[in-house]
Amino acid sequence: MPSLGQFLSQAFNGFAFGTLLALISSGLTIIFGTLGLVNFAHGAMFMVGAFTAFVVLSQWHSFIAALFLGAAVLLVLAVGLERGVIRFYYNRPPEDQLLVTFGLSVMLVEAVRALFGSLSQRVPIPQWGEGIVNFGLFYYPLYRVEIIGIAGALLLGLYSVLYHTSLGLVVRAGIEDPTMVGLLGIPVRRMFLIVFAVGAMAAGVAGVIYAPLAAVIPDMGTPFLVEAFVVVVIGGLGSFGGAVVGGLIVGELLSLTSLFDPAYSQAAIYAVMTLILVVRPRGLFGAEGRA
Amino acid sequence: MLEVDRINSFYGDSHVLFDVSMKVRAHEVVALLGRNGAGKTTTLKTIAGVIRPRSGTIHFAGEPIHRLASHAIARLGLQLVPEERRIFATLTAEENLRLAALTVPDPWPVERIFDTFPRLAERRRARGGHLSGGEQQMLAIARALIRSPKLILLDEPFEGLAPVIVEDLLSLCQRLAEAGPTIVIVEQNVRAALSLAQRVYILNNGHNVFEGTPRSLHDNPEVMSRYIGVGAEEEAI
Repeated sequence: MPSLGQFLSQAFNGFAFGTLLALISSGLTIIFGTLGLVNFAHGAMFMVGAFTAFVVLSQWHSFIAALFLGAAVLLVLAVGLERGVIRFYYNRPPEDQLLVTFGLSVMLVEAVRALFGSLSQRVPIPQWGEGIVNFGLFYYPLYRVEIIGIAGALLLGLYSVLYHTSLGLVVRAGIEDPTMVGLLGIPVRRMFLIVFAVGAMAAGVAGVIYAPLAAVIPDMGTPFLVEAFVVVVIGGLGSFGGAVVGGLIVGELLSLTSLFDPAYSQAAIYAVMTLILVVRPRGLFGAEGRA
Repeated sequence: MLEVDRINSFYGDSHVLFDVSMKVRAHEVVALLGRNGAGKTTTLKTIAGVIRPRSGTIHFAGEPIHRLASHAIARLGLQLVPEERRIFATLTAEENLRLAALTVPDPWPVERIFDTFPRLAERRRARGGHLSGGEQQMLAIARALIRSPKLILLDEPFEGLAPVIVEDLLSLCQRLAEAGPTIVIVEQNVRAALSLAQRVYILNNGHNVFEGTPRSLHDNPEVMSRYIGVGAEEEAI
């Protein structure tokens, strides 16, 4: 049996990882909810954010610059992809969307591989994140504690935009019924572009925050994409609150299961997802009829 | 005010409207009647830009609108209140109204809406999904009014509502009609529709089959029974 210290330490890991997953998944869920788009390139966008952090942190050692540049790179990338490719797929069947976003994902991964190679690259932890904290029962890396704060603050920012601005009002309405939003005089296509960009930026800044935790490699986005989809299914399609709660659930499941047997951690999240699909197909916070 | 000239609309490959035409003058209430599947809703959706006609023209206040997107048409002051109301269920009643007012330069103040619909004032913080059918219909109409439109297209506003509520809404629509905006109403409840309308169009299988006043429709029982149906005919008397 693990000790209480180990358990708490691992629960903290789950919390830190969960807030990051929540950030990635909130982007995925608003894109999914508003545009009806199955975005398989979301993991690659996370990866692009992480590589931006790698470049900026190794060159200039400024985390703030990495965050802003990460967001800016993803903004430019998202606008280019939406205008150039994605917008032609809104009214196409899901399998077409899946194939085209998967194709974009492969292209992004290979482009990064061409630039940086396949080997993993270490990203320095920012100076203020070095060291460990003594929690009494266990010691814990300082940066991971800070992640909870940073990702939490970004989630709070996203929440404020969604629930306290006109743009957020339009996006929340668009998640339910984009046609009706258009009938109320709001240009739906422009809203789609904004939502796609905001969702991509959420994945990108999550990548920036994650980069110093582990080495960056071009394929790093894939497991995050899969886990983010599990989060969206558990939390409910198009629900911001669902992405946050689902992210924390999946984060804790992965961490706490690893404490006993890491081999079962992936199985655990699928087991919970299956259970949710059986007892509550629309997810914990999903709207009725959108399951 | 509105001039629809020989439009043809499709759902995928199926041809739904065949050379449908209609004219609506300013400050007029026009009823569009016909059996289920006659093409009434499709006509309204085509006018509002949800469906693009393959041929034919639509002019609103002198401007061609048949190539415009629905949001551009709404901004010209033409407002569809769609069938099934389509209230945003996760937004509060007040948020539904604020959203509708976003893109109009001179919207009604929310308080004026609440004076007109006291019931909605009580429920302003309730989520759209928690409102009753009647309240949702009021909100759907209020959401159109807040945009101070020149023309309102009402698609089956009384559908699925209790008779008492239909009476309330009907008197509301009557006051609304007297206040000025032009209205096109599609309704299965023929009696209610005819009590509001000054002129009537009837569609059958996507074709125009009748145009006239409610009076001339009453004088023409054959048209009534043939294109509106026996049940509706009884309702109409």
